[in-house]
Amino acid sequence: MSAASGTALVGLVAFIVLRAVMTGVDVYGTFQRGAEKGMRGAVALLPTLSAMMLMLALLNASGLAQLIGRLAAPITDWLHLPQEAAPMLLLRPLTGSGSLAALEAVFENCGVDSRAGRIASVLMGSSETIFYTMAVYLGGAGVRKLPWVLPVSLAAYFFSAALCGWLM
Amino acid sequence: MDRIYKYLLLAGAALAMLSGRAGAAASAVLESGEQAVKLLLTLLATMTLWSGLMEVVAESGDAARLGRLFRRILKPLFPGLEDDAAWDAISMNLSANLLGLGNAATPAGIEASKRLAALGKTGLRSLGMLLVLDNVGLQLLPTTVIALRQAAGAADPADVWGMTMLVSGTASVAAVLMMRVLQHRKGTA
Repeated sequence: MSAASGTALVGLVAFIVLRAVMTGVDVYGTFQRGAEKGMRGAVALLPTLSAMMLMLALLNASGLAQLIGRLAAPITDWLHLPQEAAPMLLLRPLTGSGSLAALEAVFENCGVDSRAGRIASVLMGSSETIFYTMAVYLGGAGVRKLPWVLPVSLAAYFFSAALCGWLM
Repeated sequence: MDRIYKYLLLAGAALAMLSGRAGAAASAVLESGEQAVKLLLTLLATMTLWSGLMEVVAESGDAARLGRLFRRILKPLFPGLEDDAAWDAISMNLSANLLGLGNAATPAGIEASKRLAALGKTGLRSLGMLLVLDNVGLQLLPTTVIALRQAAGAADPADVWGMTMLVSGTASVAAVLMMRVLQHRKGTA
């Protein structure tokens, strides 16, 4: 890891602990309480991850993923995005686990430090499972529909993708 | 999701058999379970670690401070919203998302949605803005991506950090502006 991002990361950890010391927080106990929540959340992902990995395995081994990439090529080429990232781009707004599996596939097929791998990483980190979030929040509040949210969210995602293609 | 999922599985399996890639596809299917566990292992490690650290952030009151800061900064985005309980839920939801705490963000988001929906037209307008902000996925530190890059052997796993912030920051501004213009123009929720 480079000195800059290393310093930022270790600095962040130091800052968190320093703030906790200043406010008299039990760091050891609190860390474990939070870690347990994270652990439970992560383990609960396995069934979804397994389903998504099965799908990605079939998509990649059958050549369907490449076919989707070629079909999406007019759009990805226009945005200067690598074709290999097409499955991840399409899955990202729908499923978090599925897009993580697709990101892994990009790492495996193109290399983690390739242009495709880096673009997929940035897009993964600057996007959200739009359809899922909307379903959960609106469903929880009993709101049937809310104007503009979906088109604006998708437009912002498209904008992020275009920005990645242009800047990277 | 099921509608897409089952047909993608069928199409993949059919194409593999028809194109003579059945052998490769069979190994891929058999390996997929193990790959899911490998991916989970990375996620388990990073989520456990960062949930622990972020719990310390929450406990030391910095998450609440971040929430109050949000209310001051974001006031113009939620015009006419005075309900304190709704603001608390919005702040908690946004700060949890910013810190990458999905577990804490979802209940706060549902709470905010309920409170805003109860406030009528102004509330629904605010809910639209909140959802758009959440949907951009702005995050201070993309922990999951960095962990996956590290596991995949990247030379400098965190070197995408700056670009991620730049892209999601710009997209957030664009999304908020779009939403403002559209909501204002139509005069609807």
